[in-house]
Amino acid sequence: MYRIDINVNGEAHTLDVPSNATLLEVLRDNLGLKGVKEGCGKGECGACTVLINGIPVNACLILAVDVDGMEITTIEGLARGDELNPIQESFIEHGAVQCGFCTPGMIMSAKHLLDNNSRPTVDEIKEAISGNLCRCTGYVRIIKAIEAASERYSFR
Amino acid sequence: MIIPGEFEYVSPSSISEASREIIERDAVVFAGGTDLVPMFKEKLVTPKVVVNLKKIPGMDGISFDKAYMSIGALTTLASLATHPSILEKCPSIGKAAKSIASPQIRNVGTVGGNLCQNLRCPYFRQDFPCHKRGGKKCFAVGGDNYLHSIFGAKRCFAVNPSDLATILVAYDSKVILESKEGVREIFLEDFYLGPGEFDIEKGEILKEVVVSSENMDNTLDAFLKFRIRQSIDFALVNVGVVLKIQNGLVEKASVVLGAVAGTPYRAVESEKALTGNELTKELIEEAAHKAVEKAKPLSKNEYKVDVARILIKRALEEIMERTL
Repeated sequence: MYRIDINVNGEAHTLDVPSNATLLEVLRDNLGLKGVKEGCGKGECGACTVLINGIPVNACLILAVDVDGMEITTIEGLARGDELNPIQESFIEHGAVQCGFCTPGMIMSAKHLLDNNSRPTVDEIKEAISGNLCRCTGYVRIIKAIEAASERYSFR
Repeated sequence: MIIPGEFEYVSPSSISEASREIIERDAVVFAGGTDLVPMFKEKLVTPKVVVNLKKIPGMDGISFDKAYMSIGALTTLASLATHPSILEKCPSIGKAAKSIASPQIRNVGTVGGNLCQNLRCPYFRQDFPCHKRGGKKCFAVGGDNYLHSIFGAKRCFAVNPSDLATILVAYDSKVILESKEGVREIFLEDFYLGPGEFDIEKGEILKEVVVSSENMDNTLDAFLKFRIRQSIDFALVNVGVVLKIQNGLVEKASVVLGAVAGTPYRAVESEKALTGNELTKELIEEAAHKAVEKAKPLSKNEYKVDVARILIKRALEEIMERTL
């Protein structure tokens, strides 16, 4: 086992993880953060997207032992109590969710975009979510939701 | 999807320590892991010891000297794709990096890992007993071979899947290989021996890629990638071109195709046709044709011959437009 100290959604955790555990397994199974979805498990779908030190990554491709000392943000870290993040609000308002499986990853990619670019163009939005597959919506409503969120996004 | 077996994970702080782990304990070299973790999961690689390079100082980052540019092997694809000096001096290296995989993978995947990535042949990945798995045949020959080599092969018809390799070979880049025994510097072109085969001794670690300033100053470059999906997809064909044009004449030409052979494929006949001549529409047609003259496509990949020819044509046209 390997000891790691991580901060997840603002909370510090010390965990002992086996070498072959992925960040995805640790987040879901050890910390109960089931908003992090496993789609393909090979880095092709983006359903497991989380932020490490603010940067989007596929949690299914990261060894847990490698995130020692790092800050991780999952979809569960976005709302403040009952108050949703503007991107979450916007996804609901625009019907950008159908089956919902890609949504957490999609929103994490969108958060990274809006944290760094408060008024992205449609092409920049497409580029930002180009690592997240959605098999229901056809992306149009997702793009609209992110565009609308950018208009009222407060930096967090 | 889980990684089936545990392994010992070691994070040395020097190349010589890492080198020793490889030689003495058969350790698997690990950096970003975006290629290796799926291979661990699919049991294509079943390590006992994994040696993490990320704690070795000085292995990442891009730096410039008068004579050359150095790209550390642990530089992420994202930093390569967005580096201002790269976008200014050799923009197609940045463009190639940006065309790889997805933003999430580029944030983690490294330059060294991209250059040394394993084969994408579906037969190989799905555990068919092919040449690469100790068997006696290539299932792509006579099978589904739309992804495979159009320039023949000795045994295995899988192609080199790297986008960076194509453009970096076009730039006549060198790689620096270091072990506890010492340092070796070779052309990236010579680093590729065959499909999934590299000129790397056991214990050697790819430390950096070096591009000489001579190949970046007063040159024009182009990189094009043909793929089915515009994101998270490998090239069916890619092309990297670097031309030095002086007084209206092509003084030096480098034309390299990727995903068409087991190694990056230098289109020598195109380079010869271009060198010493003025870049015109007619010359571009001729150079593009010559690149694929020696192609021997398989039953289902003749389309790659056309794609390769047209990509070279478009790449050269792109450069010609910039000279006007």
